[in-house]
Amino acid sequence: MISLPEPIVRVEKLTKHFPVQISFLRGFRKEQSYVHALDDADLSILKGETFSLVGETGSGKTTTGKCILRLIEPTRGAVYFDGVDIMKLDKEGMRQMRRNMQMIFQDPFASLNPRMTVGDIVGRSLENFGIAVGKKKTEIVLGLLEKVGLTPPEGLIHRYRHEFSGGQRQRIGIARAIASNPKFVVADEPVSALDMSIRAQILNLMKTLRNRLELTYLFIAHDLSVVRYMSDWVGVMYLGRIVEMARSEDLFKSPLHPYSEALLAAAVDAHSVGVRRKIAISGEIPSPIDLPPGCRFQTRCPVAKSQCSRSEPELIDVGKNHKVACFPESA
Amino acid sequence: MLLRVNGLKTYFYTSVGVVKAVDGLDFDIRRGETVGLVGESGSGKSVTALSILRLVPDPPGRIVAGQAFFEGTDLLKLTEEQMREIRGGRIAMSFQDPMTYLNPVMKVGDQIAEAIMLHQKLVKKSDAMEKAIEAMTTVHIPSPSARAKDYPHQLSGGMRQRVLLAIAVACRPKLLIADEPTTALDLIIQNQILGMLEEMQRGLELSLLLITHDLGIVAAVSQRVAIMYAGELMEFGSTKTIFTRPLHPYTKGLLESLPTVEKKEAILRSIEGTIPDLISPPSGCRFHPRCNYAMTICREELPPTEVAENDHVVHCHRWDELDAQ
Amino acid sequence: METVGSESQERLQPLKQLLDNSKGFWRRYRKNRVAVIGLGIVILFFFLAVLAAQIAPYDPFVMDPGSRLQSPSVSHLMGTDLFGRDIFSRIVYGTRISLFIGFVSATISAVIGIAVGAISGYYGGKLDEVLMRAVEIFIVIPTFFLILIIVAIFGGSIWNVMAIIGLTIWPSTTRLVRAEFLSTKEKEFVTAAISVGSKDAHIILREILPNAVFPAIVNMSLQVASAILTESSLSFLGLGDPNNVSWGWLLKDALRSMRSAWWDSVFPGIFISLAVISFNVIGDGLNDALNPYLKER
Repeated sequence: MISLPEPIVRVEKLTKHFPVQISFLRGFRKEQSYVHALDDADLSILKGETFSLVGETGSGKTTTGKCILRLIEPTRGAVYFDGVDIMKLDKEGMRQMRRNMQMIFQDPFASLNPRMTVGDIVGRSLENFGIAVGKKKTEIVLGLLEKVGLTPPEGLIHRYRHEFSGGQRQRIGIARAIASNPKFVVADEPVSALDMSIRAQILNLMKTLRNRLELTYLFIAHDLSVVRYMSDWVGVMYLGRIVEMARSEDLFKSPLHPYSEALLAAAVDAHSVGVRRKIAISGEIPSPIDLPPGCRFQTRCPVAKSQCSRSEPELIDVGKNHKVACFPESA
Repeated sequence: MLLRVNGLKTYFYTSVGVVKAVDGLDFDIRRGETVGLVGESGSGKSVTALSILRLVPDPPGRIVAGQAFFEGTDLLKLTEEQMREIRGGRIAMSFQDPMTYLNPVMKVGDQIAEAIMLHQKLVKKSDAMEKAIEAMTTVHIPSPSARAKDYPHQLSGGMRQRVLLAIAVACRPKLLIADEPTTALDLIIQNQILGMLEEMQRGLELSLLLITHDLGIVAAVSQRVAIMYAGELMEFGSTKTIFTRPLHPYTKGLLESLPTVEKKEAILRSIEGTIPDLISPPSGCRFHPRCNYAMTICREELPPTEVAENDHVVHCHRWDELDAQ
Repeated sequence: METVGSESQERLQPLKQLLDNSKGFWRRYRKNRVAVIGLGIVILFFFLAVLAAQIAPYDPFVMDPGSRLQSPSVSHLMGTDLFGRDIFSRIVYGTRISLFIGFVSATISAVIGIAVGAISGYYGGKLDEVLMRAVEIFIVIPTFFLILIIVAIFGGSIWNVMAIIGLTIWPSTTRLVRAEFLSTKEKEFVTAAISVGSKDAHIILREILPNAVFPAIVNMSLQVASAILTESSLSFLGLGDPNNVSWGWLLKDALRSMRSAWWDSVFPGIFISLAVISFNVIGDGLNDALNPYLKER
């Protein structure tokens, strides 16, 4: 019997609740309210794969990405990286672990320090992890800038963020992320803030680097066409829960959850002219504070039944590793 | 023909130089149709909208050339007083960020009613409120009488955009210019709003100038589309034709570089380079530094306006050559 | 093989960058005419202080009973005092003292204020609560009287005065720096710094502080003015340092002759006022000049 390879990242029951700021008058109430940004997320990513998390506002996808890297402290749950539960590491242990797990941020401008040169920004991790200093560090930084397509690097290393275009800034962000030779990179909406004609450049760069450096990506996005291009696996999130998870092609060809179906129907595409599908989903995303019992999607679901308001469906494997959190028709 | 724009040039005179934001734009909109105005940052699409409604801040901006014929009258030659009649009344505009344009200390119902009173010259507030609630129903705001008493910050992004659109169409304009109406919104809400815009068009015989950077949106809802790049028009014609058989290298390059939800692409071909600086833009055709097919003439001369079949306008020296290939 | 020249070129690059940024800074500063004048006056004072020995026509301590209380003349530009000492010379030498006290006090305050503000703003929690309560106590107590009492107890030597002023006025800087830290801490580039494994010290000193320090710099200018004024008041009340004659001390000496010899008190008063106003307008000018940086964030 062939044993399955251990996933490089495995997340168990990851949860994040944010306490709600109570207004002065309401502060006299006893109970504290919480925003359920993420509840009991389970997922695994194998080495070399690209796992995408898609969802709309409040889905919890960005929270998941930041929790996995412990840039936000999860309320509870475990995150195993190469078998080690990073939630159990102390401050210095976690800091050292960061060498292996990096992030590409959504806003290329805001994620670069306005008072630091590009060389300093990219080379920061090399110093932090004792990889290289001084001249050796500069050499590596020049190499990194070339790798991400910023040439000639010598002229750029002393410049500041406002001297670059959006696409160039994102390349700098990518160079920073790969500087410490990580195995795992979380990319948080890496092309959402970029112009259309630049997106393919960055996506192709990310693919090339993935192959060359044997990277594993957690790709967070709301644009389904980008997700289809980049991913091996996809997780669809709604109001803090993963509602469907499958191989990318399986999800796109046969989505099972009503929300996934709606998302795919709502997606507009330059390649399908004149097609705007009407979808049966009305209303808006409800408030994530003090959620009512049952399935979170019940208020907008076209096929909701009585069971849906009584209990929350679990994420169940319905074959070929395609998981859905929805009560079956027959029930 | 409802609106015809000829040779529009809008420049911004700044301390660091003259920004040629729109440099010679021609397009038109027919009654009842949706025309998409598509471009990336710096394309000049938003400035075009502001120019038509004479809302360009002066200084530093100025419309230096062109005409904008709306139902026969050149808007660019009217007085400010005359423009005020037109704005909101016959041409309405909605913006990307509703919060910036809604009064935060006024109930949304009152804001819609105010617009109605101004343009429909109604005297009684109660009449205007009735019409305001009607407008809110048209834009599918649930429980409109209750929502009318809310303040903008109490509403979600999608609701605010609907309120803005309600104000825009409350006075039955002939043309609605919608600048990025769904950019900040989620996919499903976007779908709802696009559907609502289509409905409004049919019900009110409204023409829509839809300004966006999202090619997918114009592909889905517009009959014709104008593709802008760095202040110039690249291509203008029926959406179906342009997206299935684009003639301009920029459009071709864009379509090749964008992934699709329909299938998994093996490789995307990207357009090299970056968007140019509008103070010293490239000479001749502004796309030439990034164009795979550029030749000497592209650097030297501005491409002439050529018309292919089906009123398909294209600004490229080599379009017919490339199309034949 | 790399030559020494190219490497030093490389090291010069950040300096050149700083100068480039500085050009914008001066351009914006120059827009505020009054601030430029203020800066001019301060530079003038600076020269007076440094070149006191060359500029002052007389020894400030030499008494000349024959020339008591002479009104301003060609030989004594600002007249003489009760003991026949040349007032102009005394003022010139006094510039040294007053400016020195002003700058040192403000520096002590800046160092403490920035340190406390940074730590409080960055770490938050209980530490922040405790420190902020301490800051509030200082703000509630009238600063001048506090300084007065402490100087009365510990003596008014120049070192005491500078230390005491510095140790009392830092809270205003702390509040400014803490506010900047609280907002900058949430910025994406700080999260990015954490994600690449930066330690707290690095984040505070090299990531946040360069972005957060500008209000503290503006405040420092205002605090130089405040320190000069405070010290002048202390000296006027007799609590200053007789060995280091500041402008305020000149005022004290002029008490007895105030009615009869106006020049004795008016000239030191003018200098004090000019200094205080100048540093205040420099603060304004700095605020305007640094603002685009604040906006650029």
